[in-house]
Amino acid sequence: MNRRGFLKLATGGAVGATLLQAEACGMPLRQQKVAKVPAPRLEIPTTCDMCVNKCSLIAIVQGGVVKKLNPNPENPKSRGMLCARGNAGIQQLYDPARIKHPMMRTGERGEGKWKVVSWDEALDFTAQKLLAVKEKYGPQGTLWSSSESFQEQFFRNLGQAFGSPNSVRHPTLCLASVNLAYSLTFGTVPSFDVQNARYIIMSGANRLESFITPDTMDLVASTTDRKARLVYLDPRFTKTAAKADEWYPIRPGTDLAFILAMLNVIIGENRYDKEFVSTYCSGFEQLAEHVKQYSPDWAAEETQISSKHILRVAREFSDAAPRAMYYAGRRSSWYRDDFSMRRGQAILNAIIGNWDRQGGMVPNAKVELGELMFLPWDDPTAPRVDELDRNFPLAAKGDGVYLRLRENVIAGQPYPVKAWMVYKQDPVSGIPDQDKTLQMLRQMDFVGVIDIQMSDTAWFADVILPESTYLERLDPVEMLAGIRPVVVYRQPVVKPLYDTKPLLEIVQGVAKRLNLSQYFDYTMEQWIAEQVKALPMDLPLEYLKKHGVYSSAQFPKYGTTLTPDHRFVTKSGKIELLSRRLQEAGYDPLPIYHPPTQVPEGQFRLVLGRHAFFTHASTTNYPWLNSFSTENTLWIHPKPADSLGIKDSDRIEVASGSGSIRIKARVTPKIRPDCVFMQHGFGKHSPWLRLANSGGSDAQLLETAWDKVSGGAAMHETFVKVRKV
Amino acid sequence: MKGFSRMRKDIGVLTVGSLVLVGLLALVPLTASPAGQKGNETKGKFYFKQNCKSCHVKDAQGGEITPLSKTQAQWQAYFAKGKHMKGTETLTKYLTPEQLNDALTFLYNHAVDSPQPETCGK
Amino acid sequence: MTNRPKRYALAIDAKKCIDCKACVVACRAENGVPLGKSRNWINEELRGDWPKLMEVFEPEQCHHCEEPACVRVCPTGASYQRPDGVVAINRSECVGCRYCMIACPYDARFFRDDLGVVEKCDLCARRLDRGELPACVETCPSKVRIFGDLNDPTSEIHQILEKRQYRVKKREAGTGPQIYYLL
Repeated sequence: MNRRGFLKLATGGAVGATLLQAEACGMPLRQQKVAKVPAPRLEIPTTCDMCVNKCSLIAIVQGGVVKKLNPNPENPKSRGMLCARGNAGIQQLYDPARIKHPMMRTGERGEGKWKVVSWDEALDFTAQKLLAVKEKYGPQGTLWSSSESFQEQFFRNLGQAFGSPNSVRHPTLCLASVNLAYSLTFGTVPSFDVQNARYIIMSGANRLESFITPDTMDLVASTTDRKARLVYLDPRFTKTAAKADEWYPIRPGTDLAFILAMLNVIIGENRYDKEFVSTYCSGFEQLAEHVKQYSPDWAAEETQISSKHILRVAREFSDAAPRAMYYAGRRSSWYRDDFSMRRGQAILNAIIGNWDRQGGMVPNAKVELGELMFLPWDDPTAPRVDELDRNFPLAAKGDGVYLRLRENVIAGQPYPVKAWMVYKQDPVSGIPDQDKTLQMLRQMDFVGVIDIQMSDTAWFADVILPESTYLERLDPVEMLAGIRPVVVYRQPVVKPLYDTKPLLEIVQGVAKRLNLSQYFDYTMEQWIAEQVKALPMDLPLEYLKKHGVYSSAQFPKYGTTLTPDHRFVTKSGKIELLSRRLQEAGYDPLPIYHPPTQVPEGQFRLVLGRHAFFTHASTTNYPWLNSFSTENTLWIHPKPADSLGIKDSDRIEVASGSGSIRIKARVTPKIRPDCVFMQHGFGKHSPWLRLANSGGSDAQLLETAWDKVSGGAAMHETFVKVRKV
Repeated sequence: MKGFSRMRKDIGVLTVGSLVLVGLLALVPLTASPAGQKGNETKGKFYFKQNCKSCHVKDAQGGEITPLSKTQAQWQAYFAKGKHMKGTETLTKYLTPEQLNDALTFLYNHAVDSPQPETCGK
Repeated sequence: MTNRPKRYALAIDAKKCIDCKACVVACRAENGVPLGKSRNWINEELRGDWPKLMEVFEPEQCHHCEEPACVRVCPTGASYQRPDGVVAINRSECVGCRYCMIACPYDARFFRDDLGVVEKCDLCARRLDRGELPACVETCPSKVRIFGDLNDPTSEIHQILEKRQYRVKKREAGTGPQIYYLL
């Protein structure tokens, strides 16, 4: 019976479900009957790819089948654990809905008519289409969008070697604001030494739920063992709120008011680290003057947190310094002023002197890796289509500004973009304002997607080039910088199940046909061989194959930058409380508070967030994870629900300026009455992601908005109407 | 930018112009200022790693040098002078003027006071 | 080191549980548990009113009792207790009468429609016999679970139960449950 047959059975009931599950578990029934002598049980270390934490794991493989993924205790970044998503990696490998061969559409885009083709045909077609666009519009007429992975650089290099300046990456939907804010202040984005902190303030970040990192584990340990106090600000009562010492359902978009008031108190009451500020910081006088206007009483009005609490928290925070931190968070794609808010945070962290100290912020340490020298190409000469230099001069150039880019491409300005190559990304699901994304997609002469599953973007593509999953791949060695930097290894634990390729080979296949082979003239083995040359042990490759991870005992190190002659990577060489670059670019050099847009009468602000068992939009179709949430719901507070006549589990309609969806209501007190919340990754178009077709897509509701300094998407600026249907 | 398609038509003029420019560049040592930013950064990184890194690593003869070793102004000044090994030789011993311009572009764009916001992944 | 027989047990520090579901997925993966059923689960309780809310998460599975009621009622002897305390099911002996499911005070057992037998947590007996931890214990990110030999005075579980106060669930059922919830 083929896999489609299994799928059919699965819809038929328990027996089918078990067969599907047994197969998904990695135990094809055929093999169970035949095996008499058990095959040897192999333990193969590798690195997880189910989220960005890159934990180390040990795959248990028997008879060429992955039976279980166990934690690898040797990685200080994953601390011998493997989360729900990590354990479900088996389902990514054995997913019956995986793309098993290259495919090309035969009907209209989105019609779902596909033909299986050979790699030659798919790559010929891809190259031919790219060349056609280059011929007519120049290489800048091609867009290369990707999300991070150990192999992503090959994809990006291909776009550049082809001559296109138009790369766009996930940070513009995620970390752009926090990265830019900390980079402008400190010259780098530090890690937070949560393990040793005594007082932690978090705005959102929801580290106990949104994604499991060492900070998660340290936060749990510190708060439950009463070593640290956690003050948590979030319009939702998340798992982090449940464990925090203090939780305030802060009025959305007012975190900067809270921070400025803290600065007002800490500076006004001389509670800051004078020595640190005078030695390492610039712009303090202007900062001190600037924050005089932001009193706790004023902030109480804005944040709806009493001034009594703000005052006390500011004092306790500074008392605990330097082992105090205002946690930066990662996803900073909330409000139009997110960049400003993160700048406020950075400044607050700076003046209490927690920089490069135990329990504070620590600049990331590195482990040096070697580099294979490959032939360089000419940098693209055309300007970017999102006109970064003009619109977002300080934004990270290689990441682009997705929402601005989309506006421009739809308008055909400043020039047409007619081909779109997508790698490991699902823009149709992931970007706000889905209608616009589809509009941009439909305007393309060519859409090529490299992915492992039939994502919503793949569903609308012209050609799909299937990548092998992480359990089937040899990847470049990756160095994860941090307080305890590690080098992780990813090696295949089974041979590719289907006719899929690792990204490098896909890139090489396209490059050959574009006459760009000379820039990709190496194998993965050669690449890795150069990388490991810099590692200190005698046989580094053998070491990595056996252990899966290398970490040096010399870390953590504190205070390496606290020398009088240390030059921070800022314009002035100091920690810039007042940012010269911001000033020169015509932005506020110190963060100025702008109140958030008022929620219109009878509407709600839509806020987003994550759960521990899903990674964005890419894992909602895996049964083991989907079982915890078979469809997403709209969280709504009981009071407004009641006045709208909405009961728990009712079908409701949610409408915004971008579109409307039907979804199930979840009436819960765990959210502010003026907000609603929904989970990401449902309401999918792609019928191959059957389990994720349920619920609604936030991409259809979210409106286009961005931070004007970083260009980061502002995803909490959408107001919705809710009604029972 | 709208001018771009017009530029393609004017390629003839540009080619002559650039030949003249290259000719000029070959005759005089590289001057500081705008030239440094307009080189090819990808190639510059390659030339720097291939030619300079063999010596300029930790515990090596020349001491460790990375783009962060100097400010933008310092890199420009250094390449303008074009001298190496305490003035005993010129940089053109290692790279052509065009390659040096590329290397300068790379170093300038990643200098210790350059705007290089960090990002996720490479 | 010890000449006393092994007695495996679990201590759970529920304060640390963040309801991430890692243990549930690890168990499912390790033991081939079909969807719709679970050998382990997390009890959730939300208390209070907006904005004074509180939520607790409490992992649970078979308690591997001292006097397991499920073993007592089993007509075929399929349900049995190992000398180390693990309560297990011999699948080939189970006739699916489900008396054990009724007897269990904790609803820890479930019926396998596909196989016609009853199933539950067996502390990953195969892993124990290889010297490994149960999958749920090994995988937990916040280290909620402490597993070991109660009779070994050097074991972490022995020591923590000497230091900290704990409770068990449904003590009044009288089966002597061996999951210790730290207070």
